[in-house]
Amino acid sequence: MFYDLNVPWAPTSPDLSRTVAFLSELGYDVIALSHIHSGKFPQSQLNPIPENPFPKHPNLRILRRITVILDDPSQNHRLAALTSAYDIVALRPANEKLLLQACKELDCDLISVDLSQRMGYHFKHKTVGLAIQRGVFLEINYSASINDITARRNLIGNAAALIRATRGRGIVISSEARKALGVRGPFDVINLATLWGLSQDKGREAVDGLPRLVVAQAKLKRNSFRGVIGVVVNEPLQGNKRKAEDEAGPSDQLKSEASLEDNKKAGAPPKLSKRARKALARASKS
Amino acid sequence: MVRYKARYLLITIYYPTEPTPSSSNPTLPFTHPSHPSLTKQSLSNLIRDSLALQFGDYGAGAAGNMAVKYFSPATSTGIIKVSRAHYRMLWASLTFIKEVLGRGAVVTVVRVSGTIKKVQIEATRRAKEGIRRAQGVGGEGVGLDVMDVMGDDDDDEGGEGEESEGLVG
Repeated sequence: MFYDLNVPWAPTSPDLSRTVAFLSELGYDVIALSHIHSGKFPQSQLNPIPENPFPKHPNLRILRRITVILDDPSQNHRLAALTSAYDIVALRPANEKLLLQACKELDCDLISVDLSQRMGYHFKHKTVGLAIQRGVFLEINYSASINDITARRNLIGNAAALIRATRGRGIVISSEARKALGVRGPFDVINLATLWGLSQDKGREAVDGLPRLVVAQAKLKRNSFRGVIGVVVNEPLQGNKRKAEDEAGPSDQLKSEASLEDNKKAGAPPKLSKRARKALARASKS
Repeated sequence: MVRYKARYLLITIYYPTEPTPSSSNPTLPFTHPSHPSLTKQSLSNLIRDSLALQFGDYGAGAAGNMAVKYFSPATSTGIIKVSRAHYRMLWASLTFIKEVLGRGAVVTVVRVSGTIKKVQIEATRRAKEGIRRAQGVGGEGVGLDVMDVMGDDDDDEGGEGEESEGLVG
């Protein structure tokens, strides 16, 4: 299972469907379309990304994500309201102070710093460690480095610094590709990660295991009470036995087992697995 | 004396921005043939240029002992040999290639191995899988040629490749 958690959503661009198809071809299984937002939020913020924008790809799971650009510390982004509208909420802090705020307390699933620009500050282990301890991971977007030489230089330097600061933990790599040409295969990305200073297995985690965690945690946050208790709608299973039990009610469980025994004696074999039947036969012999 | 250890990389070149050639099968939208003038020699030059750009003189010298062992423009697959110590450098410079003979391209490494045999086996397997995919949906007219191709050592998304080559060239 390979993940690309950042594909910018551009409804007018004809390239998007091509990019999505190409990602699927390269072997990605889950992608997240990302709506990038900066500035103030209108009163009623609706999700511009439709529920299932590309039904042509049955093997591809498509998530919806918002990337909020943080550039004003005084602004209240009402992140809690966004949580229910999107599958993943990511933050892009513009400076060190906002990065600290995002790592420390803001309610989000991912922190995605733009590493293709020259950073005015250094990543500190104290800052990024806070985020990783909370289960909020940091994202590296590689696509800018493919087109532009300056961006490539910055990205290599910054990614290496970020990996050093996090001790290689909690890093997620995604593309942020606006064109199909900016996308690379999952194993190529892992190789790039080894170039930045991650080990091979951590590199693989960054496109495979950790994004899965991000998605799972984000889902838990949305569907459960405080990430601990989930409400599951109990539908009776297809199997006959289970159905009979359900009808009998939980307190009658013993009774229903007894009635199974009766059934056996009466010669009408209940629907049991082969193994269970064998065990019963053995028991009746001895 | 320690033996020279090498890595063989199986690569595929995709041309993702180009429309699917009309003669090719719609289930394989990204398998374009390369231009026939893209030979082992010119591909090797292309890779060396990229190496020099990404890693400077040092990279070009260290990983410059690479050799393109095989390249088929019809299927855009190839095999590259490089010393084991520097294969990641070479791989990265392949990743950063963004155009091939003026066409926007993505070069991906699909298999790394220490022996060329395993790479050949993988190339054949992928080609067969491609054929199976093409047959899955509306595979008429592919039938007989496919059997010919299957007997072949490697490649070919078969006749479609050759046909569309004419279109491009």
